Amino acid sequence: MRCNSVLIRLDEFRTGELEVDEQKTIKEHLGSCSSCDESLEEIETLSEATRQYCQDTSAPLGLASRCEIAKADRIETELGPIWVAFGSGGIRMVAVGSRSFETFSDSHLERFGRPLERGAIPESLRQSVDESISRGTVDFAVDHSELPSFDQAVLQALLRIPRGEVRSYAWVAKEVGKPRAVRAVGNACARNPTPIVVPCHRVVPSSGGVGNYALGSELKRTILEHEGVDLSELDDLARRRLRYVGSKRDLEYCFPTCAGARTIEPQDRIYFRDDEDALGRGFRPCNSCTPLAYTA
Amino acid sequence: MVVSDQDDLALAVHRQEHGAFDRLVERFECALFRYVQRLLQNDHDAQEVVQDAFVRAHRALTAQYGNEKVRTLQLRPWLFRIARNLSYNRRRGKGLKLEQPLDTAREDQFQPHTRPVLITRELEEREEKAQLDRAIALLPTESRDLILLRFVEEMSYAEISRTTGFNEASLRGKVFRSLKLLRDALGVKGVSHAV
Repeated sequence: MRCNSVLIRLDEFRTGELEVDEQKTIKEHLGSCSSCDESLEEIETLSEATRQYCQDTSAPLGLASRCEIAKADRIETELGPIWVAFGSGGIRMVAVGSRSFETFSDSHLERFGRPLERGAIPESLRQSVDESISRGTVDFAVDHSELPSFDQAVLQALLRIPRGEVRSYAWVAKEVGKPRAVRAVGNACARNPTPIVVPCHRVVPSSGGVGNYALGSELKRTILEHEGVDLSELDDLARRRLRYVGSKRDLEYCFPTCAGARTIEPQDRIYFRDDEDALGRGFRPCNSCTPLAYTA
Repeated sequence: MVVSDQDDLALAVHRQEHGAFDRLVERFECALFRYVQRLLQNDHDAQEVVQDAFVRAHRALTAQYGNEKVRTLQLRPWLFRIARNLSYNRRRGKGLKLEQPLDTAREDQFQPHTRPVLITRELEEREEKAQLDRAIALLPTESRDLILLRFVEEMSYAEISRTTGFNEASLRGKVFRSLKLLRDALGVKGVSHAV
């Protein structure tokens, strides 16, 4: 065999991929041709170096969950049937109503670039979702890893609003450390892929009313009333441009829906237009509904 | 590499067995990512391509391919072929001839060290790796592709042939030339012997 024919087979010779007699011929050639032998050594060095330096590239964090095909199941709740898509990282998407699996899968495809697969929801997860709707517990994981970080922060803040209470978009903006991004908070809520379980319905405009809802304002009103929010009281206060209620006994002020605020005796009640109004009269923000938000 | 195990995996995904697709992703995501990332020289595009490749694989295995087709499928070259085609499409779509090499040197991140011996060795290794990264980045796409499949993924010629569609005979010459280009790019003092 001539050197040229040997050279282009050296790489396969190296890994023993050639036919037995070819392996043998080349082995013999190498014994008598030092420059072909050196070429083999060079190929070995190069391949070893390439393997060693390139194999340590690891996939970026979260790639696995972005490639995961999430499962979807329909469950019955107090609010009727809902579709839940879940993966190893938690709940990824929720849809209300009696749409078909295909419609739900298509909306996931459109949003995240891949479809869903039918699968039975684990009993514990089904129960947590059910309880989050009936009792407001947050005993489940949500996977928002594919959303922009701002949206993730907003949705995390929403999970801190208790059932039966509402906050303003402005409060959420303060809560995520971007007090001027009130509109952006509204948009992030509108994009919430996990409505109901991540309660974007508990955010209302400071100016009164329940505001917009991706699934329709009527449903937002229904859910809030179902959760025990007194919407007529909120509307009434908004009309009078009053945002907070305080207790003359404790000198604390709260959002009107705060559990603490609802126990204030009528004779101790006092209403405020805004934080300055309350603080100016010597009232402290309530520790539980945190009118000033944590980051303020 | 256990071939039968991989084929079982394809069948398991086809039968929609619980967790089968997750196992498939887990098994191949690293390899596919490092291949596409170096092929395209771009982290962001590589992530999207790999994600897309998995989605297509899932669709093909669960909804498009029949039992017989899945049974005879060679999973690894098949997956790499999907990723490779998507990568070339993306490259064409962007009208790019060659991306800028990835910045791998990162000299500015180097922290002063109190152990001088280690510094030298670390620096040497870092320098060597940077050199290799640059050399691979500067190869023509086809050569880079083949170097990655052959020497990083350690595929056999038969597998590379399935992945790229080149026949094995032409592959021989192509890989040989790619090796030569890599050697030249690295400035290794080669044996000036034939070809």
